[in-house]
Amino acid sequence: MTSMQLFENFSGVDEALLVQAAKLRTCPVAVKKAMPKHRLLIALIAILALLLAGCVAVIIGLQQRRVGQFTGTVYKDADGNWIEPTEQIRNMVALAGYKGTDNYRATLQWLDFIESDTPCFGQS
Amino acid sequence: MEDSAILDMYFARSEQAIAETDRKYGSYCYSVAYHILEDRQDSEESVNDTYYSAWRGIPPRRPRQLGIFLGRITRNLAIDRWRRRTADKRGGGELTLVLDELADCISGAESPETDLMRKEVTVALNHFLQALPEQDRTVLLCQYYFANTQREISQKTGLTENGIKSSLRRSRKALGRFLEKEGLL
Repeated sequence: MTSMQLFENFSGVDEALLVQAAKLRTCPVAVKKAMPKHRLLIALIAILALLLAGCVAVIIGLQQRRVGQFTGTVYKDADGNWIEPTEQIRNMVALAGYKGTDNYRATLQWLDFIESDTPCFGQS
Repeated sequence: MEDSAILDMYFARSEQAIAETDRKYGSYCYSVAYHILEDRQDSEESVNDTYYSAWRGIPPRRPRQLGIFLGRITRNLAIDRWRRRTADKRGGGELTLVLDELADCISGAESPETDLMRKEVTVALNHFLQALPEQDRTVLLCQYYFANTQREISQKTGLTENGIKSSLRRSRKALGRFLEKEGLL
C-alpha cells in the first residue's frame, strides 16, 4: 500500500467521526494554548516582590538594631582617597542583639562611655 | 437555509439547489479542494464538478449530512485531479507533505488495491479512529482528511504546533501497528 492509497482510504471515514471533527474545528476549545509569556511575567513579578520583601525585612531589621549615634572622624572619601579629617555623625548598629537584650544594653553602655570619654592620650 | 430544504430542491430538480449549495457549502468545498490541489483554478473546477456530481446523485440519495457528503465528493475529485495533474511526478504543497508523513505507517510498496482490500482498509481505519482519543482523532482527520496545515489545525483546535506534531507522530505509529496487526500491510 502506498501513502496515496492510504490517503484515499481516508475518504471512507465514518460520517459521524467527520461531523465530530468538523464540530471541534469550528469550536476550538479543546485545549487552551499555553501562555509562556504571561507565566513568565507572573514569575518575574513574584521574584521582584520577594526581593522587595527581603530588602524591607533587612532594612527594618537593621533599624531595630540601631542603638544610637556617635560622632566619628572620617579620613577617607567614598573612593578611598585620603582627605582632611572630618567629623561625621554615624549610626551605631548593634549586631549583638535585639532591643532590650543584655547585649543590646551592654552596647548602649559602651556607646555612652565612648561619647562621654575625652581621650587624654596618656596625659592625666 | 437548512440542509433539508436544499435537498428538497434537489429532489424537485430545481436548479436553485446548486445556488443554495454554493452559498452554504461553496467555501467549505473550495477549502477542501484547495488544500489538496493548491491551485485556484483547479480547486474551482473541482467544486463545480462536485455540484454536478451531487446533482446526478441526489436523488435517489438523500445524504444525512449534506456538508460531509459534498466534502467527501470534493476530496475524491480533487485527489483524482491531483493524480492526473502530477502523473508520475510529485508536485509540492501540503499533499506531498501529508503523503510523506503517511508513508511512516505503511510499507510503501505499490499494490493493486482491489475494491475488497480498499474496503477492508477503510473498515480497519474506522475501527482505529473510533478507538483513538477524540483530540488525537480530530487532529489526524484535520491533517489527513482535510489536508489542513499544522498552523491551521493549531488555529482551529487551540493546540500548539508542537502538540499537533507529537499527536500526529503518536497516531501514525499506532496506525501502522494497527494495520500490521490486521494483516493489511
